Parts: sequence; C-alpha cells; structure tokens
Amino acid sequence: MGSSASIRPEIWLMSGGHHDIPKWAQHLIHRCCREDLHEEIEGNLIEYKERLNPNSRLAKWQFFYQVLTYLRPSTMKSISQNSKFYIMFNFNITQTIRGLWMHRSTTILNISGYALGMLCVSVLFFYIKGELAYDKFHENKDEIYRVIRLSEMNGEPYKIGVTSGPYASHLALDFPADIQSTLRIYSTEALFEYGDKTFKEDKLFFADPNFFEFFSFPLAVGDPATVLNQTNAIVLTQEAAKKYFGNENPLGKTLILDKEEPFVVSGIMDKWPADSHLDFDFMASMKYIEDFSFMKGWWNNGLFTYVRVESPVIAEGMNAKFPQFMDKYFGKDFERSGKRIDIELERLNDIYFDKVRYDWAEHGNKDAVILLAGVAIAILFIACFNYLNLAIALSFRRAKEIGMRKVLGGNKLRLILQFLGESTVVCLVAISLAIGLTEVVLPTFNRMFDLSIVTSWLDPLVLSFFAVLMIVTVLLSGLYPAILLSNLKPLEVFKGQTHLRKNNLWLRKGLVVAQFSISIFMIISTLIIKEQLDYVNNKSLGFDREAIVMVDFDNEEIREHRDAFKERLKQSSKIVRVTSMSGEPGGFHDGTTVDFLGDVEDIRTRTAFVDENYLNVFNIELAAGRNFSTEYRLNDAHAAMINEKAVQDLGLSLEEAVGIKFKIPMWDTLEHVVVGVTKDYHFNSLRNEMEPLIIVPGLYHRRMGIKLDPNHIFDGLREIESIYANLAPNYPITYEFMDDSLEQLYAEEKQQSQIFQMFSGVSIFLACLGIFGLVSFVVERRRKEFGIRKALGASVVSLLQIISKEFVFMIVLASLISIPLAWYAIQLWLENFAYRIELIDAWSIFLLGAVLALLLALVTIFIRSVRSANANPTESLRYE
Amino acid sequence: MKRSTIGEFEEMVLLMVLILQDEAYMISLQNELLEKANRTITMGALHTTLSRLEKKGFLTSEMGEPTKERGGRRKRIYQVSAAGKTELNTIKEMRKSLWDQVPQFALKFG
Repeated sequence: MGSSASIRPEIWLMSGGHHDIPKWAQHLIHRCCREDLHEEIEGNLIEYKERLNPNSRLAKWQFFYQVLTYLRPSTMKSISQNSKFYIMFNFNITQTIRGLWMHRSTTILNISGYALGMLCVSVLFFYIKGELAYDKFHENKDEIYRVIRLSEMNGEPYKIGVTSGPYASHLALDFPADIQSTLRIYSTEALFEYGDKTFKEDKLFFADPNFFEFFSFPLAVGDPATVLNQTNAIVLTQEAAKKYFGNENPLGKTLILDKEEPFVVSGIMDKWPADSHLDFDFMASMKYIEDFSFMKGWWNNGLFTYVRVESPVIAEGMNAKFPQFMDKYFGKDFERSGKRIDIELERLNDIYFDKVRYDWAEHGNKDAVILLAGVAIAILFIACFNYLNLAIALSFRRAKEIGMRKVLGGNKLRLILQFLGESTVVCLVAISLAIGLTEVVLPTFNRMFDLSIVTSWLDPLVLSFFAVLMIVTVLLSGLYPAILLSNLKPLEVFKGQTHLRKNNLWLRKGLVVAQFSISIFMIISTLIIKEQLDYVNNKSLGFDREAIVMVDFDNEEIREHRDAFKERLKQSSKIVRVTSMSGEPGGFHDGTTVDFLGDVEDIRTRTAFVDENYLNVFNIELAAGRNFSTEYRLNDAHAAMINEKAVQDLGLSLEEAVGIKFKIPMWDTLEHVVVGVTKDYHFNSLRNEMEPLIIVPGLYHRRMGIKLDPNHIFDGLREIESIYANLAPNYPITYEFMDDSLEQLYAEEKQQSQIFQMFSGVSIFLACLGIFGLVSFVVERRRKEFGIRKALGASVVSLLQIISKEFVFMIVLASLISIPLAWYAIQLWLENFAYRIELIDAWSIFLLGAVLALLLALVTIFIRSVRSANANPTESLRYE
Repeated sequence: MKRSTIGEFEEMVLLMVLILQDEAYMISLQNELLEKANRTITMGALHTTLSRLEKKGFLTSEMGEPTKERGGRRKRIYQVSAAGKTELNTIKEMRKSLWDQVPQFALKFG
C-alpha cells in the first residue's frame, strides 16, 4: 500500500496496472483467503474493476467494498491455515488457561489484589469526578463571574463572598459595554406551610428573575424567561414539591412563608445534571425583597452578585477599573474608617474550590482532591507491583515453556503479545469484579462518610478512563515480564542456564521496597492526622463546651420575647446560666476596624456582642479588670472588654489596657471604655491564628447560650422546649449542642482522616498480599533446601528467620525512605493549622508506622511459611 | 409435505445458473441478478451462497479457460446438477399446486 495513502485514498485503492488488481488487494486475498480460491477471486475482482466506470469517484470505493466483503468465513482460511504460528498459538490458549489454573493461588492473589486496587481507584475516581463536575453544566459557565470583595485583617488579605444589593445595578451602570447581564441571589430560611404541613426550610433562595436564563438549572415545568417574573413566584425542586403537595399538581398552589407571606408555585425544577456551588430547594423571586431596606444599603452585605462578561480579557479590564468604582461609591466610608475594601471578579469555575470567608456557597477542598488522587495512584502502583513481582518470580518456572515456544516458531513480538494477553485476562477479570464491587460498596461508603458519590458507567469520559486505566495497568505490570521472558534464549534454557533470578533480583527487591515505602508513608500520615485532630479536639480552648445548648433567635416571635425567654429560663432549676450573644466561641464573629483613642494604632478586630453572663456561661477567665455589671444596659452601656491578643497588638500592658477608650467608626459614635481584659480563648477555628477581639454589650443578639445542669441534661432540654413553645408557639425550635457545633468546625478534617485511614489500610493489605505471594514462591523454591537444613538439625525458628531476613531488610530500607518523605508532606499539611502538634514530639508515631508495617509483613510471612517450616523433611526430600 | 431445503435467494441463483448456461460465473451472475431480479449483492456474499449450494449438491463447478480480461486467471463456471434440477422442479410443482388451490376471487382487489 502506497505511502500516498494518507493523501489521496483513491490512488492506492485503485493502484495496479491494467488487467491487474492493486497490490494491497492481492496481498489481502493471499493472506486471508483459501489458496484454492485465489485465482477465481482475483479474476473476478479484475473483471469487476474493468467494468467499473473509471471516472466515477464512487467506483474506487465500490471496488474496495467488494474486496473487503470477499473476506468471509466461506472464503477465508481456517485459523490453523491462516497462521504459520498456529502450533504455537494453539498450544498457547490451553496453556494459558492451564498455566493460570496451575498457579491458581498466584492467579487468585493477582486477581483479588488487582480487583481491590481497582475498586479503590474506581471509587476515588467517581469521587474526584463529582468534585470536579461542580458548576460545569452551565451553558455560559465561561462567561459568568461572581463579584467578591477583598479585605485584609492585620496584614493578611482575604476574600469575602457576600456583597450588598446596590452593587449589581451600579456595576451595570458603570460598565455598560462590558457587562451583559447581572444577577443577585440571597439565601435565607423560612417556615413553610401548606395545609397541615409545616416545615422549617433553610435552603430558600431569592434571585433576580433572570436566574434560570443566567444559570442553566433545568426546569421541568415553567419557562426560564418568565418563571420568576411575578413578585411572589416560587420554584421548587421535585423533592420539595413532593414533600408539600404529594401527588397533587403543585403548579399554582400557594405556600405560606413565615405565617403571612403567600408564594405561588410557578415552576418545578428538573434533576440537576451535576452539583453546583448553589444548593437550594426553593427559588423565589427577588422582586419580593427588592424594596426591603437592607437591599438598598451599600454595607448590608449578604447577597451574591454575579455578572456575565463575554471574555476573560474584558473581566481583567474590569478588575483593573474596580478601584475607581469603589472610590466613587465608598470614598467617604474609606476615609472615615481608614480602611479600604476592593472588589474582584471570580470565575464561576473557581468558586467551588476557592477559599472565601463569609460565603454561603458550597465549597470543596482542592487539597483533599489532589491528596485522594495521589492515594488512588499509589494504590494502583502497589497492585501493579504485586503482579509485576509475582510474574518475574514465576518467570523461571516458565523458562522451559518459553524455550519450547521459541523452538516452535514464536518470535519475540508474538511472545510479548502473548504474555501481555495473559496479564490482560487477569486484569479484565479484576476490572469486571471491581466494577461490580463498586456498585455494591458505594452505598455503604457514601453513608459512612456522608458523601454522595454517583456512578455513571456509560459516560464516554468514564469509559475512556477505565480503558486507559486498563491499558496502563496491563503495560505497567505486564510489559516488563513479557520482555524479560521473551528475551530468554532457548538453548540456554534447555541447558539449564537460567540466570534470570540474578538479573532482576534488584528490581524485585526494589518493587517491594517501593510498595512498603508507600504503605509506611500512608500509615504514618494516617496516624499523625489522627493525632493532630485529637490535639485539636482536646486542646484547651480557653472556654467550656460541656452541657451548653444554643438556641437560635431565628423568627420574629422569639425575638420579641427575648427577655422573657431569658427570664423564664433563669427560673428553671435545671438550667445553670443563660446568656444571649451575637455568636458563641467557634461561631460567627464579625470583623471591624476599631479606632482606639490616644497614642495607639487603630487595629482591626473581631467583635462579640454579649450580655453580662457570657463569660460565666462559657467560663472564660479574666486576665485583668472586671466583667460587665448585671445592669449592663444602664450602667455599662459604654463598657467593653478586649482579649489579651488585642492588648498585645496595641502594644500595651494589661494595666494600661484597662481604661483605654475606643470608637467603632462603622457602627456608632459611642465612646467605649475597656473595663476588662479576657484571657485569649479560641473563638475561631484552630486553623486560624488568635485574633484580637472586642467584647461589647449589645442588643443585636442572634443566639442564646444555655448552660444546663450536667446531671439533668434531658430534663433541661425539655424545659427549654416547653418555654420556647410557649413564647413562640408558631415556630419550631432550633438548637444545637456546643460540643457538636465545635466538632463541626473540624468535620472536614475528620472525614479526610477517616477516608485516609481506610485507604491506607487497603494499601498495607495489598502490600502484604504481595509479600504473601513472594513468600509462597520462596518457600516453594527452597523446599528441598529447607528439608535438608531440617534434616541436619535446623529448628523451625531458624528456618523462619532465614525466610524473613531478606524481607526485614527491605522493610527497614522502605522505612528509611518513607519517613523523611512523610515528615515533609505532613509538615505541609500541618501548616493548615495555626495550632498544631510538633512533629519532633511525634517521633514515636513514625517509628510506630514502620514497626507496624514490619509486624504485618512478619505475620504474613509467618502465616505462609510456618507450615513448610514445620513440615517433615522426608516429605520434601522423598523424591530425590 | 416435504420441506424445501433451499431458500428463495438460493432458488433464484439456481435459476440464474440455468439461464446463463456456459457463462454462469461470478461476474455474470452478479450482473444478471442486478438486471433481471434487481438484487444488489457483493461477490463475497454470492460466493457464500454458491459454495453452500455446491455443498448441498445442487451445483457443480469447474474451472474454465484463462482469459485476457481477467489478467490471465481462470474463472469458475457453475452448472446445476441433476439434484438441483429435481429440487427446482419440486419447488415449482409445489408452488403450482398451491396456486391451483387459491380461489380465483381471493386474488382480486389484492
């Protein structure tokens, strides 16, 4: 076939002279068709060709088609005739099956090891795929940007997700050429009522009417352009519709929100194609809240603002012009507070993984995704190394078989293909098992780790991933043994000169070392992550968390009766203390710039608005000064407390700090006086450094902290419920325990640690499986040697020593490799935490990891070899 | 009733071989099938049918003389065997008897 094939197909299709057929056709016929048919077929084709219209383009393809369709069972050689390697191949098929069966323990080891490895890879693949699919289904995903704000806290810049109502319209006004459209979304919660069904719903969004055109959330019922046009329109997910309306048609039905606001169902959403950073069950029209006063203030941040911009270049241009925009609208505020805030466009694709404070978007952890991808690759390697190692170990057994094949005409390439074929068979079985197991295991896995991983086997991406996985696995594990085996020289083999073992001894040992390095690395990481989380959970935070319940002031009724609620709680014998506050330690603490009077720098601090019982309920200690007095609203309206960190940042001593005055320019004109200094307590997550804090008596309390009598927690809770029901009969109570909410702060780390634990378990299991296979091989090969040793008086223990000596050395080497690597990697991870364990103090864990791996390996070796070591030497020596 | 052992297409091929007599070989059969019966068929498929008929004993074949237009290759010429002719007759008879049993009016307004 000509080299011009790629340029003009018709040339090679019809090459060949007059009264002849092209070479390729002739070759094909000779190669594939029965010899007795060659003449007539060629003749027919020549005649056929002559009769075709030479000017027709189609003619060439007609001829091509005729040639191809000549290749059929009735004309083709049988396989035995078709291949000069017939004998070899015929031999191979049975031989492969027999070979796999003869070494069935190895085969089972290989298949189960692979299957387990692939199972992990497949679960992790779907997890990672799900994480990366966030927000990818929006048609205009490359044109959508969110407006975020940039601020800084004492030198450290951070991003803020929420913006206020006026941004959208003013941006559209000031950048008319750049912005195609804008969108605002507001997230809130409400009490929903339909008939006798009442539920508290916290996934309620309000959005501008263009929401369903801006984003591509699919609608099952409703026109995306108009569905939110009515002021009181609301769109539901199918689950939500089912929850309230059962099998009734929800369209046009009225839901009552917060007891008085009627909303009419105008549309139903379809199932989302993938997850989104926006998680909502109800979407109502922004028109309803548009006129509320908080929508008008530039500082009432609580919304998300999105813009659609045609290209990243334009977005960059806008980013450059934003400082002017901010000066235009905030100039005076910046001057007054001495602090500026900027805005920036954040790509829709980046939202999910971005680290943003004050954000109610769903977020993922990119580090975790990378980490788990690494884990998947590590496990795949271990599984492949197992196969590779066993294949090499077994190769000497097959030396004679290979010699025979070569004698019977198997050339090198065909031998390589044959061996790759064998690993493909093993791999195929394993991958099918793994796919089946994924379906079985995934529901449990999802439940255990509170995930929602879904499989989608028919997705082309998934299919190609598994195809690539398969090819990589086969090549990784099969190629080297295949080349190694096919390189054997038949003469040497039959003479018994197989120096196979020596040549690749280093490779085999290297593989075991690599496997155990990975396993030890994972064991150590797992243990240290756990240690760090324990440290975080048990670290003295500077405040109490036991037996404290928090009740939200999340509706009008309870807000009205705040004081009565407090009074009545105080009267209960099961309740020790009560405080109302803006946020509990570990909860929300807003930041602001504080203007300290006198010769002190202004600093930015966090704030807590509390009452006089706050310190008592949480048992926060004072370092200097006093607490607010009981009648704080009368006597101590100007009083304030600060923490030690604030004192330190101000550069004052404790004594100097008491009595200092400050103003909060953004909020009020009051002059506050510091009356006390609290010891530093961790009002933030331990991931963050301690920040300066001011504690001010305030009225805008959001929650109630209630310290129960630890002996009567249940009764106390019931009491709270009944008092609440009395004061706010129309609303269900929402409360949480302090220790739960603190644990929630580290939920992500905890989840990561558990997932990591599981997969490091799998990796060490796989590595042990590998050792098991190798030991079996060693034991079998040295059976006679052990027999002689025993006959000459060696003890069982000494035999076990001989077997394990080699492996112990390898594992020690693996520890030496993995400990520094683990040290480095964990150090990086720990840097996420401002408060963390010292790795030097955790040296014993590193040792423990190595020892654990060693022990597991020894146990494996012991299990496999104890029988042979115990065996009667006459058994093994009988046949010599 | 004895079931016929050949299909409709096989029957047609047998008839074509009879029609073409000495000239019944692959290319002519392929052309005739297209012209007379409006059947497009590749040579490969036709080969399968022909060899099946040969196996059943309805056809015999022998190689002809080499010709120039075939680049000096001989062609395989087919002939209907006695068994083939009997089979064709049987089919025809059976059809005829069936046709005779069809009431005249049943074919009207078809």
